[in-house]
Parts: sequence; structure tokens; C-alpha cells
Amino acid sequence: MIGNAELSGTATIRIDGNDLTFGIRRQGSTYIYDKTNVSSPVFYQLDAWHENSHPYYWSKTFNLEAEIFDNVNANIELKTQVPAGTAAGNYTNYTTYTTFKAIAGAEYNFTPRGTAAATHYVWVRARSRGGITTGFNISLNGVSKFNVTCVRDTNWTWYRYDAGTNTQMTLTSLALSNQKLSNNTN
Amino acid sequence: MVRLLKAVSMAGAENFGCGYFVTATPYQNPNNYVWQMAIPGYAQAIASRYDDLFLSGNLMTGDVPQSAASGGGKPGYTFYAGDIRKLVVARNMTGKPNMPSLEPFSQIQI
Repeated sequence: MIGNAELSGTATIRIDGNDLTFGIRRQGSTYIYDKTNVSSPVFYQLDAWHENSHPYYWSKTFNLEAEIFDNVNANIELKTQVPAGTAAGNYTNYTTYTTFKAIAGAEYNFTPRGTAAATHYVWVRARSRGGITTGFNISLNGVSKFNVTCVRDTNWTWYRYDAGTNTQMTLTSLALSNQKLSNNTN
Repeated sequence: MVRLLKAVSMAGAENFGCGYFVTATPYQNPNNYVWQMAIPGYAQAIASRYDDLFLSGNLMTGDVPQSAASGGGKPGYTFYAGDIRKLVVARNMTGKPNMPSLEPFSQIQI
């Protein structure tokens, strides 16, 4: 359609005397820009999972952003990381993540999309803060399901194997109702 | 349309009445009727993630004037992002985050 909005792009605005650059999308984007700590601002998106098509065609795969957790837990902090050399206020390429002041858990509610119960595979992107071996436990609706104990890389790495069974973390026949996934640090 | 409702939410709207129904041929695809009824919920769900700023924050005046013809004076409550089709609305709160809601504004030519 002639003149239609672009699927995605970037925008720069002047806010509080500083430039702020970020991604924009046809379906709209809503961000939080938290400058409580001026030297280490936090920037993250609330609606990254919205796609630009009719929801009927949206992916059946979920990408739960760690920073959009549903519970209140004072031991969870958010931090934003940008590549070295990035200008201040440029958030076109950023990673916002959860870090833990103590053993803590984050909860995520979601409803599977589709027309029938389906199997979902769980992948978690994590890293070790100091290179020491650490891990996490994943629960579904309050029932412990998986344990990952081999997180030691200081670079972001995808983890998908349960230490208990040495098989891929799999949620079978997940009903089309609210599901609460919990991620607890070990 | 959901992008526009996200911006309207950021401006402070809790509820919307949105619907465009063609009652003569050629009729619209009925799937679009359903989508029109569903989209407020998608925008409101996102707004619920920043309810503290929604209820207690302030809509920022921005740097775009209310009237492009008359220029300055009254604020337009949007931020210029290099292209007037990119609609940017933001709220802030003292001691709380600034929160831009961003929307590449759609132009439709049929």
C-alpha cells in the first residue's frame, strides 16, 4: 500500500536536553527509560512481543523478556548494557537484563497461543556474573520442572538442557490458559 | 491501529471507542471487525505495565507545537523524531522513569 508506515526504523528525540535514539515499529513500541541512576540508566521495552500482523498470525513461540516479570521482588535489579563505543542515549542496540542481589525468583504469566494444547521447548539466555558456576531452577505453576546448573560463561549463552534428565527442557501439552513460569536463581 | 492506541494510552486515555464498519458492498473482511474490538485490550494491557506513571505521572509537553501552521504557543504533547509520521508521546514522573511511547504514524493511500 503506497505511503504505508515502514515496518521498523529508528527515531531520535530530544528529551530533557539529551538525544535519545531507539527503534520504532509499525505496531508501535512502548519503552521505559529509567534515569534514577544517572550514570547507569535502564532502558527496556514493554511490548516487544507485539507483531506487525493480525494477532491470529502471531508466532506461537513465546519470547519472555526477563525484565518484564510479574512479581515484586526487591532482590531483582535491572541493568542495561550497550556495545562499547555506543553514544550516550543510543538504545538502538541494547540488552537489558535481570541481575540478583540475593537468591531470588522472577515470575512470568502467559497464555499459549493457538487452537489446541501444544508442546513448548524452554530456552533461557543467561550468563555468570563472575565466571563462577551457577544456575537456576524453572517452575511451572508452582511445580519445579527443570534445573540448569552449568552457567559459567560470562558471555550471554542460551541454555536448554535440564541437568536432572540431560534432555531438552520440554513442556508438553501446555493448555491454552494462564501459565505461570518461575525462574529462580540457585 | 494498535500503535495509535498505545500513543493515546500514553497521553492518558483509559478507554477507547474504536470501530469502523462498512455496511454496504464491498464489505470489509470480518476478521478485521473482530480485530477492531480486540485491539483496545492490547493497548490497555501494555498501559497496565506502567500504571504508576499512568496514574501519577505527567504527560510531557514535547517539542512539537499544537499547530504546524501557527507555530509556537501551545504544546503538541509529542516529540519531533525527524519525520512527522513518527509519533512519539512520553510521560514522566519525578523520581520515576521517563517513558516514551513510540509510533511510526501510518499514512494510507488507497
